[in-house]
Amino acid sequence: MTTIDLRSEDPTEVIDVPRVLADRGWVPSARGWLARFAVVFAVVFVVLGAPFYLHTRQVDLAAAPIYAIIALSLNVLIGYTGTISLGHQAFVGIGAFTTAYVVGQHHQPFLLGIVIAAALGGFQALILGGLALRISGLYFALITLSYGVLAQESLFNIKSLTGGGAGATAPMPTPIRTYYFICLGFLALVLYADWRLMRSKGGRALLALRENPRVAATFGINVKLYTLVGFMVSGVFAGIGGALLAHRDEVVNSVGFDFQLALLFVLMTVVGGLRNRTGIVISASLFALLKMLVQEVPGFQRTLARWDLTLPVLFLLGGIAAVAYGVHKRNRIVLAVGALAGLLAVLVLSPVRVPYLEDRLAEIPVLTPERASGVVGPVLLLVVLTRLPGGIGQLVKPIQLWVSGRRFDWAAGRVKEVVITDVRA
Amino acid sequence: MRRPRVLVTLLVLMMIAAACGQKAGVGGATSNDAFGAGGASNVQAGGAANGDTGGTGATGVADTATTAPGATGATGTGAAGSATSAGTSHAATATPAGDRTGITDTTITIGVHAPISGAAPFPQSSFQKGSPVYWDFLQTKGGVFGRMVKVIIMDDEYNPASAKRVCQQMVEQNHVFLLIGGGGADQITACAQYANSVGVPYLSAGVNENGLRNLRGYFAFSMSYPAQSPLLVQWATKKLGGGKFAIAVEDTPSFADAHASIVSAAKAGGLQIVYDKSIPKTVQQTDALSIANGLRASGAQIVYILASPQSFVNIAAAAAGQAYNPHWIGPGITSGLNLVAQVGCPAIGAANFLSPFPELDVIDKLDPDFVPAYQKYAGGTPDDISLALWGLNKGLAQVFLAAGKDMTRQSFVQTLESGKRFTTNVYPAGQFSPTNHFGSTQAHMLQADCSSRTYKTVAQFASGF
Amino acid sequence: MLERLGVSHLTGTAIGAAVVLFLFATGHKEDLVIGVITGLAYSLIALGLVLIYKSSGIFNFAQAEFGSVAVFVLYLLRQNDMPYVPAALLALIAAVVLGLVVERAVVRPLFDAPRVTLLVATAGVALLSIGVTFWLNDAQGRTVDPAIHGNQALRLFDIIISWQRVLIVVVVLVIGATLALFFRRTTLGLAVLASSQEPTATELVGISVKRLSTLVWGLAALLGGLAGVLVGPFEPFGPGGMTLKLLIPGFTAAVIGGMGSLQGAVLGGMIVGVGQSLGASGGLLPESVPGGGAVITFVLLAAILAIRPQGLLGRTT
Repeated sequence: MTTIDLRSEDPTEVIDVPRVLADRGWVPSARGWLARFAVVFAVVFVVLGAPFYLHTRQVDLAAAPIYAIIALSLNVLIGYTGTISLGHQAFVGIGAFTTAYVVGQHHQPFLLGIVIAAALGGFQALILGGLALRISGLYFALITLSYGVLAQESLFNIKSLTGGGAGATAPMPTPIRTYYFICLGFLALVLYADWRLMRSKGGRALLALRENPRVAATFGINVKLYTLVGFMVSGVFAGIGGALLAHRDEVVNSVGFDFQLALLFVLMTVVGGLRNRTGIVISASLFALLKMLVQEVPGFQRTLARWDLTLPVLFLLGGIAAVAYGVHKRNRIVLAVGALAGLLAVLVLSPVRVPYLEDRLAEIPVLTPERASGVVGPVLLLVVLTRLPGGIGQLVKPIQLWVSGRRFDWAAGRVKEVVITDVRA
Repeated sequence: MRRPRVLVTLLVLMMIAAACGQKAGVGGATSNDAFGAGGASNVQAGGAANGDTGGTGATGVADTATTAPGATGATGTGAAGSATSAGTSHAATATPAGDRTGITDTTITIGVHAPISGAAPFPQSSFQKGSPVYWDFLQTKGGVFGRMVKVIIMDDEYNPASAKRVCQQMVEQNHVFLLIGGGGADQITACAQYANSVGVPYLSAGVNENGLRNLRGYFAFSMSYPAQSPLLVQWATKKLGGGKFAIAVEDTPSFADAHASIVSAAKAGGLQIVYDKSIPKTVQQTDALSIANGLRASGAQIVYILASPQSFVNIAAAAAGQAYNPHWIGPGITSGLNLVAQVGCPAIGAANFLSPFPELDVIDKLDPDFVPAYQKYAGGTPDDISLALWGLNKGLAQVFLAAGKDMTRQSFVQTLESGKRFTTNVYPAGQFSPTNHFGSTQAHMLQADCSSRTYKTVAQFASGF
Repeated sequence: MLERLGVSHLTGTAIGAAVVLFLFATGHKEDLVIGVITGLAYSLIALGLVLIYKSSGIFNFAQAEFGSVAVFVLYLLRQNDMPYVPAALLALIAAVVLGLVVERAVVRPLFDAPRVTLLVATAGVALLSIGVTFWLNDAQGRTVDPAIHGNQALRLFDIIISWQRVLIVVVVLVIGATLALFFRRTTLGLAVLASSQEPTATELVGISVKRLSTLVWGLAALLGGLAGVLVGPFEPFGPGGMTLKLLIPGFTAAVIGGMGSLQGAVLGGMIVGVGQSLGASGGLLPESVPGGGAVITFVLLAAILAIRPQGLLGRTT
């Protein structure tokens, strides 16, 4: 007897019930299993083998699991408890500075530093959670924002604890390759803890809470307790991430923990797809490795540098797409704009010299990898919010389900909208 | 996740084992011996012996084989008793006889880090246009024994963690021969400490001395901030008439020595200190107004300021808005740039800053090669950042040439320490010894000229007034 | 008007007066003045934030970026020697265009989404704007000149107030009053309020909610642009400068004053400004704890939200 599992942690996910029912009992063939195993093996090979292949980039690689841990911690807040945190850099920073203090200043063992960092992270998250009990939704977002600024300007600048402007040191405990695997190990730990939490009664309570606290209360769920639990878990994970980050950078300074970092974390989590662990891990890794990827992928840097070629090509493609859309939807404005853009692009690309435009194009600065992430990231965020609510998780879900033994289905994992909390305050 | 338990247990075991083993070199030997000749090597493999850079408490299982595939790759570096506290895989294990990383038959590669973004940025184009000019010029005269010098510039974002990261990147990926710090004391300190731990020579203009004094591979090619204090006090008393003196130093441990030095110099010089407060690293509107108001209330006529140029401009502007125009003075590398004059005038008045390099108004007399070379190799009119880079590269070239055709990192350091006098007629002469890596005793005095929005050189190669 | 002054209003005014007297007595009167005049910059941002909140319940994180874009455009035009007034007007138009684009591309598709999602979306817009400005303009600090030159307009307790600051005070008061009148007396204002509370009913009555949304966002962008142009001259600005320096205090100001209250935005700005100047002057916190302004802002915000969540001048509806 096969049980049909229609549960999904994400209630906004669209489940094609007839399809699921029709596929019940379907088992992949031997070849199918082989294919699935090959894909899993390839992924594991890449993850475990990267530091050997990219041996000059190991420090950059170690950032991927660390950012994944941080994004997962933010997912607990945003995805599970439904609280938006715009000051998450404070949670992470507390972990970082704690371990720098414990290991760097007082020469305690590395693991002790991580443990204390996690504990402190959980503790300060608990305090903030206490505040969250009294203040709702949007306003709490502002509190987290203000708390983040407080952390950066005040807490992280207390000279005796953090070294002030010069920063604190947190030496890497092992050579970098081992450290990469240590970070992977911690990521596995966090993923496991997250998975167990969500499978437990507490996790289900959290999700119910997120959907509607008042209804949850009528079911006997202790709203206060579970909100605090959610905050604490998030703080512990963030503390671990921060501590690992500190040891990777080896120098920790308040300048790095600014508001933009908090927004980057939110970006990573939302683009990954709320409540979707795989998507979040992938998204965080991408953002962490963006600069490295741009530098390693051949030809990419040249594309970002030659705007006098790239931009007209983009305009041409965009123009063609706009014309097609305008014809399809009978929208004259879009059609006109598209035609104009396309025509201009053709003119610029042709040997005919367009005086003003070509000079302006030549003046556009090179899009260096640092600047690229500042532009690509927010664009992805806006695209996800308006067009692809499930984020990367939504894109990856079909593959995930296929690997777990179901028939491959393009439409699986579709998410209706980005819902952080259903309470429409 | 099908079988999470097995997978996770494996990974956790691996992680724990990795954390317990392979703790090479965290026990902080300062690896000064990487530069050759020097005290007995007291590096211990997997040691927790000298704890000053944070030994992670070796549990004595340094030889435990780990189950992690990666760790086996790391044994080679770990067990060699590496003196690296940064856990990088090479450099210090090179034979002290000669580390030639970054030098080939045709090229020498050097790395520069400077703030191009962040709280106190320089324009990127100035650096990119200005750094190759001297080397292009030298190439026509045979280069460095036929070799061309390639300069890699990276942005340290005015953040010590980023500085260390880009320095590490330049060492590990670009294999630079040495590193140079453009500006920002915290960033210079962080990068210099890293560079020293991996045996890479590091040069910068003089900033703080704390944290840099014991680094074997660190050299300051101009007067440090503490050393500049007596000169500034002399200027204040003899040229500005003395009087009420205010001290505003940025709140960072890197400036503690500069602060102590200006206080004692001011007292010795007979100045009356009426204000002595630290200012935050980033000064914004409300802070600037409060600080300016505090200065005004103290009645100070001369204000010594040591902070980022951005903070200086904001405070000066706030002060001018309150019709309070003291005489601003300070040590410097960056506050005396024309950029600051352009943005800060007229508020900064006739501000005086010491500088390791003179300004464009006198450079033609001091080094007539500069402007023509810039126009030929970079095009356009040069700015003072390019001038600073020219002077720096010129001095560096002299050291390269003195070190001989077969130069190593160790011989580079030894050439600097040899007591030879390096003159460029741009930067003050530098003369170092094994016990003194702050080899400059002179500086130029610059004065802001707001009618032209530039700085002018009012004293050259001064060691006193 | 006096009838509307309830007990809470009277106690609030009494507390406020007591605090001001206390500050005078402890020698902080200059900090008070500094705080009020810098705080009015925050009020200008807060007015735009309250406008958007009143009409759609959205926390607009891109508000300060409207100002950033305006001030950058002003800078570029002034570099090309355009006279100030047309350059400033074009800068404001640029800000309005950005606001309309944001409304169409980001706010419209998410019209029915939870407000928190929209908060994240506007934060994304702000990040994008910062990223693009950084790419096109470098991190260099730029300066623009003020609308009115001339330093010594007023002198209050030894603090000199420039003409530009006086202009800001006037602009804030005028805009605050105009907006208040707009919402209370004009039909359009009433329609905007209605569309935020009951969008379906508003549509049924024949008012286009979408058109109102466009209008409001254009107006808010204009306010943001004005803030940028007026506040920009005080110190060199770089990419994201406005957001980093003005947005967070602006939000704090709006919340402290009451997100639904325009007068509250003005008052809140001044309170935040005074808090920051007290923190900066080192009066209230020990030397070893830096960042006094941030601490005071946080404490104020937490206190208001815990004790009186509708803000000082907000109503309990």
